Amino acid sequence: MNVMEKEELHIEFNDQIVRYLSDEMTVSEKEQFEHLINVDSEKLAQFSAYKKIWDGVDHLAARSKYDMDGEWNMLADKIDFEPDERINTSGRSLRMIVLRVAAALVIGVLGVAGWYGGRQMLMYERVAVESGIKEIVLPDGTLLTLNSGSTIKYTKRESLSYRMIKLNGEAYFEVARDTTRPFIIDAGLARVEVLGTKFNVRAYPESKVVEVTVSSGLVAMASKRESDHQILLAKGNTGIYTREKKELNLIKSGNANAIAWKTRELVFTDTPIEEVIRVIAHTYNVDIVLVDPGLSEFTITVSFTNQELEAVLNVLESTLDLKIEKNGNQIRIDSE
Amino acid sequence: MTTEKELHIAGPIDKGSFELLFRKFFPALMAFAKKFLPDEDDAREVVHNVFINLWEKRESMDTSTSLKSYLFKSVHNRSLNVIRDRKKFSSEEVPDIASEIDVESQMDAMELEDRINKVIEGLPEKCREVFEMSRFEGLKYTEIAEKLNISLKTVENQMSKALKILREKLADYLVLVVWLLWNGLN
Repeated sequence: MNVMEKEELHIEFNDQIVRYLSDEMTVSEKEQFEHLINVDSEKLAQFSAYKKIWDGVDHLAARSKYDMDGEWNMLADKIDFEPDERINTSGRSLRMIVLRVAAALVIGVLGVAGWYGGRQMLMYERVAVESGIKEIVLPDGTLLTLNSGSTIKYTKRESLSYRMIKLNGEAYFEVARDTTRPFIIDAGLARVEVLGTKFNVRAYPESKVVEVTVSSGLVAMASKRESDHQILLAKGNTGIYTREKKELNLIKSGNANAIAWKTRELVFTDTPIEEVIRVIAHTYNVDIVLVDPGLSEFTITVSFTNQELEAVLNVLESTLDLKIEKNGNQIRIDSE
Repeated sequence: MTTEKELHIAGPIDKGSFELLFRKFFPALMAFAKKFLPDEDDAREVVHNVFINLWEKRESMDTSTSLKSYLFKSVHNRSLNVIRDRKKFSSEEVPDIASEIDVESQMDAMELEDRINKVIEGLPEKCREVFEMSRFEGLKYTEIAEKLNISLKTVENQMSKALKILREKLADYLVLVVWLLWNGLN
């Protein structure tokens, strides 16, 4: 056998090794190949060298099977990063701006962050509403209504084993059913995991509490720190997470007006006037001041369906003998 | 074996460098944790706890030391703790694999896989594409041929070429791999 022939045979054998390792051989080819390396120690050595690299590649492949964006989200969800990462709605000041902007204005629908995760890259979508209300349909079909001064961040990737959204502010969720991929909301320090369908999450960064009120289905709520402790919220329940005390509480007959900002349906039953004013202010996104402290003894029982602010105020004014005046952006309520 | 290059972080760990650390080491730490705790979720919990602990201690952390060995050692210790705790509540014999696994060799294995990764990234474009489709996406030769609109023979040739290059560039590492094989890491 001359050198040329030997070289050719060598190349041919290399191809065979690779086909064998790739599992591309027929049963009889395999048997022949195994016989060949068992009787020829030189070929066996050559095969072992390839096999070792092959195994290393397999290890590497196993390592890259992880969806690193999802893995990172999962970890990041357990850690309270300082506000630097949080979206720049510095609550109060933004709310003040909101008062001055009359028209509804969506300030940005933009992909913001690109992370390199090994061989893959993920874009986060970010939607912010400065003033007014905006409806958003997420890639999974979930319908989301975003209230003023709120921001969400989500990924369009559908390969993740769960759906994750970050919320800063308030939103009403009508989650598309997908039992294989839980829908998880990261709301500041609280975490909301959805088992059912419709609910409201109020998580403004300046507020001391995160409030979740369920209108249908089941929702699991947990603190990010102790995710094993969770409460299950059913229809009508409100879950409240107190940031300072890190406490989770369930209120059975929860906030009836939780989604009034979206529906403009208001129900008050023997409700103290201070609470009524707070709810109306939030619903219509205005600033209301109770001038006479003596008024706080009053309670009100009344309901409104899709009324304008003026109409609501008129009813209050006439039934309780109040004096209501608008002073610029502020509404002042005083006794007659 | 000395490490080829060590990951150094200038100054204290911030969120950015923390994320980088996580992305770099998570898969290898998972593989390592799974040697002790075969259940994926158990392993993930251990690895997560190590990173949470690192984040909480980030200000007192001396970043001039090897973070890599810190991470591997922490995963090792925590995994052993989990096994120990489970033994307490179980009459079953839990196999004592802990003593057979060595942190250093695990770190070396990761080193080697990083080397392989670099060689793959340096392969000629077509060659790399075929090789990755086969090894990382698990496609059969016929599927690759169809997807890339090339002949079966070309797929075979590219695969052989990839392996040949890998073998040449990793010649000095093969000794190490033999040693790893003997340690039952495959």
